[in-house]
Amino acid sequence: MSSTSVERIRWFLKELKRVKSGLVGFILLFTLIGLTLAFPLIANPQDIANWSGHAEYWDQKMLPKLAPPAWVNIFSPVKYPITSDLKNVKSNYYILNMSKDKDLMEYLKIQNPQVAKALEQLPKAQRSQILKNLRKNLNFNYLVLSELNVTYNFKADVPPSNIIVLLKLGPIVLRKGYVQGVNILFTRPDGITISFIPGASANLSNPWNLNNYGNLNDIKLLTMLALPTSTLKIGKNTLRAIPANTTLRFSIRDYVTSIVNSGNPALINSVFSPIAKSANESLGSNLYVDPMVLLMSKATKGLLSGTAPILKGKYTITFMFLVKVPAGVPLPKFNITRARVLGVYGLMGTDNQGRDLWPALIYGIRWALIIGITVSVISTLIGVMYGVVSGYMGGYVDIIMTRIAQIVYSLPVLPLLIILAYFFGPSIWNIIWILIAFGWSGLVFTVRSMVLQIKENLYVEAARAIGASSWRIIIKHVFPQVLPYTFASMALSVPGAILAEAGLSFLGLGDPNIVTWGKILHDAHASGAALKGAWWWVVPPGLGIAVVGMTFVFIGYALDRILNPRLIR
Amino acid sequence: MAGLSTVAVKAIANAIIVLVIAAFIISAVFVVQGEQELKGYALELFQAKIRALKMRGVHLTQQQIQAINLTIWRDLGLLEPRWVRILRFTVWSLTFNFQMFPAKVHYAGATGNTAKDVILAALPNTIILFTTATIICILIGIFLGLQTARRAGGIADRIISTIAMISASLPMWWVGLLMLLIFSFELGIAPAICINVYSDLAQLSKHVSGILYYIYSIPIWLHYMWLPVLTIVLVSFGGWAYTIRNVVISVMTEDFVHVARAKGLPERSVLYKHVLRSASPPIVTMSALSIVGSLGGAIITETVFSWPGMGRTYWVALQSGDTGVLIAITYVTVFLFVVVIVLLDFIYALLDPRVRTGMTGGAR
Repeated sequence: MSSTSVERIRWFLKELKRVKSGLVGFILLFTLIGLTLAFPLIANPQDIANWSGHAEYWDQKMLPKLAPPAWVNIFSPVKYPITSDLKNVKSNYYILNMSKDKDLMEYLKIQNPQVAKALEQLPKAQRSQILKNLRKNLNFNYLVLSELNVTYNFKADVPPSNIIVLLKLGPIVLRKGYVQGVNILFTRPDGITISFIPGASANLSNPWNLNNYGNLNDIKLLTMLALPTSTLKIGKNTLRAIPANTTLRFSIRDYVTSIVNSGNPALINSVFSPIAKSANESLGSNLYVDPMVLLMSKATKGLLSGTAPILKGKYTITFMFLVKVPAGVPLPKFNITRARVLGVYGLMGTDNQGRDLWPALIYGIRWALIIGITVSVISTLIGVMYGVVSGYMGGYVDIIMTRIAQIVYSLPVLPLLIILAYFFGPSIWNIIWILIAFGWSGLVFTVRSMVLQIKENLYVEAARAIGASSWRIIIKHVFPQVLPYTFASMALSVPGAILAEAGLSFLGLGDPNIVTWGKILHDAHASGAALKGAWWWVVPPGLGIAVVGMTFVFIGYALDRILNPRLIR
Repeated sequence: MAGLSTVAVKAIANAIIVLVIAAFIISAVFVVQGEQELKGYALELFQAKIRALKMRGVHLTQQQIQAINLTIWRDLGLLEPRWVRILRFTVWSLTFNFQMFPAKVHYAGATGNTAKDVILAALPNTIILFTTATIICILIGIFLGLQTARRAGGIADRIISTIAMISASLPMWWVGLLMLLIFSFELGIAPAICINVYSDLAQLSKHVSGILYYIYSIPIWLHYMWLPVLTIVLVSFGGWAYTIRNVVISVMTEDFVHVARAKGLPERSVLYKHVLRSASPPIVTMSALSIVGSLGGAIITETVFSWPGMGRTYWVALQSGDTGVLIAITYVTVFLFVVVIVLLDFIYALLDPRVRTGMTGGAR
């Protein structure tokens, strides 16, 4: 770098210190660039790659939908539960082996106590003989009881938006007349327990009694739990079964909502009556209270209208399976793979599809800068060259060029931009080219009038006199004179380009493969975020647009003051 | 008169060229990009017709089948070369022959189903909204502009300049979303969907008619209008005040202002009578340009509030792929924009004392 350019930069920096807004602008610009470069460190790039059309990616992340950011708890008088995994998971697994007399006796004690009592009176040998005969009639070898539970210590002031438990289970053979049980219990800190399975008992006293369970053979119940069935080949037989490693996704909110929406009073009553009874309220066929509020409120007056106070403390969700295992089938496995409380989440909350907004916001800076800078630099350079050529050439060239620029200048940009983006397909580079095609004309007239003055200067005449070509004079002598003036307009035209792209994306005409702030706002508006009060979804992207815009406005004004002192009034 | 008529001829010639080019671009985009769609439509028609004939047991020769296909293509204008079709659409646009563009879906308030009816219903609503907002902006802008110009560099001046800078980079439609968040969701005092104004008016028309209907409809319009108007004013007043301040400052350095002050006129009279009068041409320019500019630029703001104007109509047309309405609205917007630019040249010439004296000088 030559010493003159070092001097120039030093001079510029000194001037910049005097113009406060410019200093602010440059600090903002470097911050924005820093955030863009740091993107892989402060956010997960995978989130952006899977932003649109990858619902399974976001499902597997298990984020809450439409959740405010976690830091609202600092300002809010009401504390929200924070989205987190529940680690307090316990599991118990019991097997009754029907080939053992002792275990078979246990089974009989539960299923047919009188027969069991009579058998106990008999001598051992005789009893074994009878049991042997009984065993022949049994169509299973093992009876498996699995008890899994997860505990949530609830301390917030508002119930979580959902609790989701993921289980892996199977294989479970389903045979006609083969009664096997499933039960899902919800135990509250006040000791009230309800069973989510209609018809099952909320009483845990005898886990081996099949009458306390819902029947796994019931297709309606399997549908409610969204448990898929397929077939299992055992020897020559093909049996209907829940295959090994089947995932059960138990979302309390969705499950309870489906019960409430059924409008079936018997169903509603069988699930919620223990809470309603303690609260002395009667259940109808409709429940208007939020399901999570209903489940986690004190059982007092106002429970069904959602006005009862919130009940804090330890909640336990228990999954129980009582499964019969026929010969040749491996013992089933039951595991809670993940349990999660959904509440407020992350730095910037989530949208209505459960996508984390933080990476999208940071990623948006990149495209705002690319669009703004590309459009402004290219269209300014085109405009300047155009104006210089038009002004320097003069005559008919000038007249025609000025007329063309006037025509482009008189065309309203946004409607034409929309119609062109609509027809030429929503690609980000199409949008950038169209913005450039309409954006260059604004500067032409000022540049042209400047050139008319410059070309009368002595050094231009001298250059012409020694035989320099028009192009050489334009490039070497005129263009460098005009260029500093254009830096300010370059910066000042950035916000316009960003606003135009954001507007297009907001109308749904943006590039579908790119996450921009306009696109986030499009999604927000399309799902009525403003009317649902989802401020964390609406405010930050717009603020981002405004901050990037302002950055360049500040820089533009500062450049104008420093580089064009004559223009200050 | 020579000065003014040259201005007029030049401006009108320019306007016509711009309009022809715009209409041509729009038509070309429509014809070229819409061709595939039209061919698909022709194929559908053709297949339906053949099927109908076969159902009736008519046996068709290869030639007859081709003839049927040819008729369909001719009726849809697909047989003509592209440029003929582009020119036809250009001429239709230029002559406002929007009955030729059918509207695919129904638009709130429209009485018929051509692009013409749609525009006739939507345009007044946009004008009501943006003219109201612009007038309020001008009043606030003139007041603040004069006050800040009087004490340039003061605190008020700096605040206004900062507001102008900030609001230049604020998307108006985003501010609209914020307003909905605050006034509709949080406070619940503003209607969220302005298009309901039509159902309210229909309700009203059942009870009263005639002049009373118009009187009673005013508060209904105001009820739906105030939030969009407030949004537009909030985003725009800073820019207005800042520009008017700059114009006023440049006028204040002129001699006649010093003379007026030297005569001992009160400052109030100097500002509002002398300075404002000679600052008015640029202010008029700005107002007209901004009202017309808003016709196109407000597409998104109207969409946010569901205001039944040109912008929302444009958006609905985009969503439903209603090309005819899109073409018509784009052209009307361009037309209004260009016409206002031409008119402005005249008004500016009339208001500018230098042009006016040139004019009378020519007459002598």
